[in-house]
Amino acid sequence: MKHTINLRVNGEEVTTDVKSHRTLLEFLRDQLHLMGVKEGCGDGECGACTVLLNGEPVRSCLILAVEAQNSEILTIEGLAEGEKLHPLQRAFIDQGAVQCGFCTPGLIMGAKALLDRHSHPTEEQIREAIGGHLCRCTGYETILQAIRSVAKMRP
Amino acid sequence: MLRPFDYFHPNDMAETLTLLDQEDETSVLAGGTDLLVKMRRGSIRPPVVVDIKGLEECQGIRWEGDRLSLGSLTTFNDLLRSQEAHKHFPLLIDAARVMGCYEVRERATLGGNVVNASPGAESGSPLAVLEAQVVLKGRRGERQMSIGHFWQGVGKTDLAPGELLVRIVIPRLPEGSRSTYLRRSRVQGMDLASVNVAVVVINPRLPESREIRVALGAVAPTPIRAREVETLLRGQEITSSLLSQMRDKIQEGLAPRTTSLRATPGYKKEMVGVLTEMALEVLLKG
Repeated sequence: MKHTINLRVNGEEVTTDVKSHRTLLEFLRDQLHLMGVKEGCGDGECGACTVLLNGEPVRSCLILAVEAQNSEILTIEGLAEGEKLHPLQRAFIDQGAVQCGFCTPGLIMGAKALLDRHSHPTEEQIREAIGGHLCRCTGYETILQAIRSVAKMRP
Repeated sequence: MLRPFDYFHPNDMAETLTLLDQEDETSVLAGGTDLLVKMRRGSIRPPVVVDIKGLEECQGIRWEGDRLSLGSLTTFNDLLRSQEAHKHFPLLIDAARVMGCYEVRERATLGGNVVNASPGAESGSPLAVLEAQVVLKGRRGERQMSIGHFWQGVGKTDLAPGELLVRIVIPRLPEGSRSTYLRRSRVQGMDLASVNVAVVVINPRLPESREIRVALGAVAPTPIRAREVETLLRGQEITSSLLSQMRDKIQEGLAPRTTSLRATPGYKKEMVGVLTEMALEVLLKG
């Protein structure tokens, strides 16, 4: 069964046909070629596929593409302004919070949503926000530092 | 990849119930955090998926007389944002806080959690101890029943084919009541409860008229009330010997499954007593 959906992805209007059994993750990667959205477990456990849907972080592997009708999606590709990286992207690089990089897009999207909710999050709020993201390389400390450093830069 | 299915997104109840009535294997899609996992694993293969997120009747948190009525589409983050839940049912907040992770709480719904009927569901023991009722709608009408009767076993409910869980209603607790939810999990962060307890104390400061309600999760096929423990504690001064009796009594008749990956039956039986004691300590203080 095919459906025509309208949505905004990284600020651009998209109108396209999707099959009902395609997940948002598959749609973003296979139809829109946004390869920053990663498929880790496919079960909602790992957080690698996290994107923002109407400003809130969600698991794109657990949402059907048709469910995103009329929504606003932001992926890691939509974060930088031209050549200028988003402060979180810059901080992840500066703090060495990226090793293999597979979890990074999901973590940055989760962290962005956190900083949109709380401009100066507590340590507990930071830990809670990344609680659903698995990183098997860094041991999380540099990731925490990166998020803290962006919060600290804020007025 | 998911198997193909037909997807519908009706905006009114009559249309939804007609769709649900047509096919036996229709799946209802709310948050999708359990449904899509099951579909991906192939444990269910619905030919038709009905997305109910357009149904106003299943949304919102509001008082209906002396009962707080929560739409089945209420997400765990909605609960965390609800002043009414914070004020009147803090144990629901305790449970919502540890449910999944932020991203899951943003989508996962209370209705889905109830209908999935997992023995250790985060909302399970809290709703049992609060004596919640479920409101079900089908083409032949509406019915209500206590949540304890609704759950019939692991993954089994009294939901008839073609019926939809519309709302969950919770009677207001007497003024001054206290409640909490405690659990143990293998890791902090995203993990299901190995075992959990929900405790409500009515009239905490008046031992003679005090009522203590206890519900347990992940120790039986459904969340259960510890009725004998409630009787033991009713109107009694809480002493260390009474608590010791309680810890023995609470284990009686419990036979948690031996195949759990999260905790052994022995650990669970021991821990429900420990958690209940911890809960009472917090709720009876001051």
